[in-house]
Amino acid sequence: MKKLVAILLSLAMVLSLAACGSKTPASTEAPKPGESTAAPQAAWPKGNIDIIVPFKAGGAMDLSARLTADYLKKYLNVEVTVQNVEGGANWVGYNQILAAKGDGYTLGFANYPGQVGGYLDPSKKNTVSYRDFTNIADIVHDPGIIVVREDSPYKTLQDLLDAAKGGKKLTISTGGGPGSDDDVLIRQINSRLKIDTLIPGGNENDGEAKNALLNKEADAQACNVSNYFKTYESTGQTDSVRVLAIFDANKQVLMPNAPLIDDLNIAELKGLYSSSDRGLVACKALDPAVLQIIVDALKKAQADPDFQKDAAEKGMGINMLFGDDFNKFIDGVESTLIELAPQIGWDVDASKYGK
Amino acid sequence: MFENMQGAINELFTWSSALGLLIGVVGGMIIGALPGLSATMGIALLIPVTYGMRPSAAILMLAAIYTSAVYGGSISAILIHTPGTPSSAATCLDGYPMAQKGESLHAIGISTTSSVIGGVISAIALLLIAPPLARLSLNFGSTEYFLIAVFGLTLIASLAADNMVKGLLAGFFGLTVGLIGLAADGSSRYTFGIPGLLGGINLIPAMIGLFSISQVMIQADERGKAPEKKEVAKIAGRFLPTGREFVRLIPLILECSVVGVFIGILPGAGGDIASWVGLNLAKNQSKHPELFGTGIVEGVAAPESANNAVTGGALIPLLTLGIPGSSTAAVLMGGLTIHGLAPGFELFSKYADITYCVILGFLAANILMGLVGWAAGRYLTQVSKVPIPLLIPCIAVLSLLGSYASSRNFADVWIAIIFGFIGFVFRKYGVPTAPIVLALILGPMSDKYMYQGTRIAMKNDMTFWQYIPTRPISIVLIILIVLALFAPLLSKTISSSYQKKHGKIDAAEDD
Repeated sequence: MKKLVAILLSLAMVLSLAACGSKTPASTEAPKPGESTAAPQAAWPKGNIDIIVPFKAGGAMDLSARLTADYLKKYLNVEVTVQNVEGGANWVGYNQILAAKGDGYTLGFANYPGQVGGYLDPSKKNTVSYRDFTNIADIVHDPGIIVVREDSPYKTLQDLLDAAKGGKKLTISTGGGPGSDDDVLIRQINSRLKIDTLIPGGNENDGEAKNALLNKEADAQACNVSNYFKTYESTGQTDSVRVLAIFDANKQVLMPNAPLIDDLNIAELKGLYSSSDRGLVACKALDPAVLQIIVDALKKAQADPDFQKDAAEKGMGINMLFGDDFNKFIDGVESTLIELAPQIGWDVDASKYGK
Repeated sequence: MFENMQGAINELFTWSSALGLLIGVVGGMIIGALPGLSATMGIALLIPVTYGMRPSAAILMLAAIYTSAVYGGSISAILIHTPGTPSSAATCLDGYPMAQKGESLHAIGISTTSSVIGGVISAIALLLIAPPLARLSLNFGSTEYFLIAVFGLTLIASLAADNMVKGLLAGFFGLTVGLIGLAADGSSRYTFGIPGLLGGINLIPAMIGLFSISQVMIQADERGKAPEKKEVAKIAGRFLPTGREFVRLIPLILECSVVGVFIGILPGAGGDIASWVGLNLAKNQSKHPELFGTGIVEGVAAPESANNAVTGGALIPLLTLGIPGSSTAAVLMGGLTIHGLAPGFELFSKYADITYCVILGFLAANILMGLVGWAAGRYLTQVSKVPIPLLIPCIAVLSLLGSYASSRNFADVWIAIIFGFIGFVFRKYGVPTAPIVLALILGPMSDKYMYQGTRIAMKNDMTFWQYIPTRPISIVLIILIVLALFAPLLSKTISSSYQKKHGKIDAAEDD
């Protein structure tokens, strides 16, 4: 009897120790913006690194972060742990990243345009912007695509657009609501063609968007290369689809035979690129010396064939952008969203972002 | 279906799957036997632990915990007159008197036999119904999902048959709480500028609060009032039913199992409801309904077969449509998503190996549960002797830990505490908590699919309401909803005319 009670109590204790043992990423004192911590450390890192992922475990964001964590671990020789911090439509996690110390032991993962939409939407009352983060590197670049069912009457993107221009209303399922990359792509096509017949489906996630395509509620689906790279080549499967276009400037390793938007010779849509990007970020006060060490490690990973192979298996297109290039990319995403804000229904004060 | 079996069987016979199965069965039994720790809590606590496991082993372990905990709950119901999980409340009525008569081991044996049969039948139902339903789900669009959610909400009427006003109160409370957060069109509702509320109220901490923390508070509250000492029944009697007894019980067990599977499939309605329905069924069919409550085997066999049959049934809508068939299944859904498994047709095509491994393993878990119960049942009874004063703080700690572990967001700990108080007050005044969870799951779902349906309807220049009748499956669902709405009314009229003829039937005590 006593033994059992003891076992039970020790179980409770072990569990609570396990919870306490993992470093809590939230820091009580938020460093002032621009303030850099201490002198550059001689040998960084001395301890384990946490990566805060503001999304639940198992999703695309989480997988990208875990892949990055594996290779940071390989090249920095310390444990790198992914911490999934959910809640507040991802802003609980983002706020924890912003509040972290600048010592580099707490990093974070962010997605675009998700993060930008999160602060542009005035109803979310976020006062920060991408400028409040140290944007270390864009890691996963997942271009937008439009797909139809194999039995669809629309054989090419031109077919689909001709029908839409002819006044036929078409529902395009999207893996996210207003402001998500899929939704924004459809709105951009509408505005470039000066039509309003393509209706973004507003589905909650890619799985639901795919269901809507397969159950014939949607005429097409806007999604990303990673969603279909595996079934793309195979035919005869229930979920086989036809890729009408990749909205990216470059050929995709994961979908080598799918047409790029610029090759389709649709004048209005020339240069219309869309993607979901996921990158490594940190708080503004990140020590510049630490930043350099992380960037060097990522560059080593980028050149590592194992990293490339792992990423390809998970359907992640790797296109690393560092520092200013990364900031410029996010700025472009921000400009696009501000431009479309009235359509999405966001009352954005563009001057706040210097636009 | 059978072309996937080979891979699934290979998957099942890996060390990790076998280990997951064993840990799930034994652990589930202990969790179930401890009053206050339910299957829902056990799964919520273990989901973060499963992250490092193979997906098949992880889901298998969680499913095994589910069925085994529901069985384990009967042990404390029989021995100390306290249900180990809410599903075993009905078992107390005859199980404890049996134990007082010196037949405690026999009662546990009957419970084991019935639980195994109920569980196995539900596993077979899962194996046979889920794959074709998953294929059918490819034809389900947003209107169908919307109507399924509405259908589930109408069940509040039957969940609250005793006091409609209180049931509706709980339902509306759940719907209101479900509104909090970002709406499908991206606007925020009832967030009061608090960023932590943008994502809405997280289901797992809310359920931990409503069920576990409120249970702890009720136990603490009762202790202060009436210091009664609960007598632990002695372990005595034969374990297995006699051959003649078994032949007499088997029609009842089979019938209760089928009813249990059906209740499991219904969204939100779980083992607690099924066990009462099973007991009533047994009473209505018995030639001697007056003997119920005096310690007869039928009073144990009926609820225990029904509540275990719920487990497999509850997994059917979960795996095929992403609609949890019980509150425990709702927590289990979190386990699926953590491993990147989205419910729907993909589970039965792309991830068929994993899914069939889980289903076959679930079948095996129900059999293993019987073997473990048979071999170790008498030792497991020790678990029910853990004194309540020790149990209360342990469960309180585990509850708070579980709500933090599910999201690593400290706000969820507060949500669990707040919902613990709400659950305590509601239960104290006899307001059922099950409708809250039902509304919390199905409210946002109906909201989301209505928005999507509106977008689909737009292309035909229709409103959502004009669009619904154009879809045949939707019309069938509307008929089901109308039937479900009027069923309690109908059954009331029937039973009152029945009562006039045959005298009053004792209404089931509310859980």
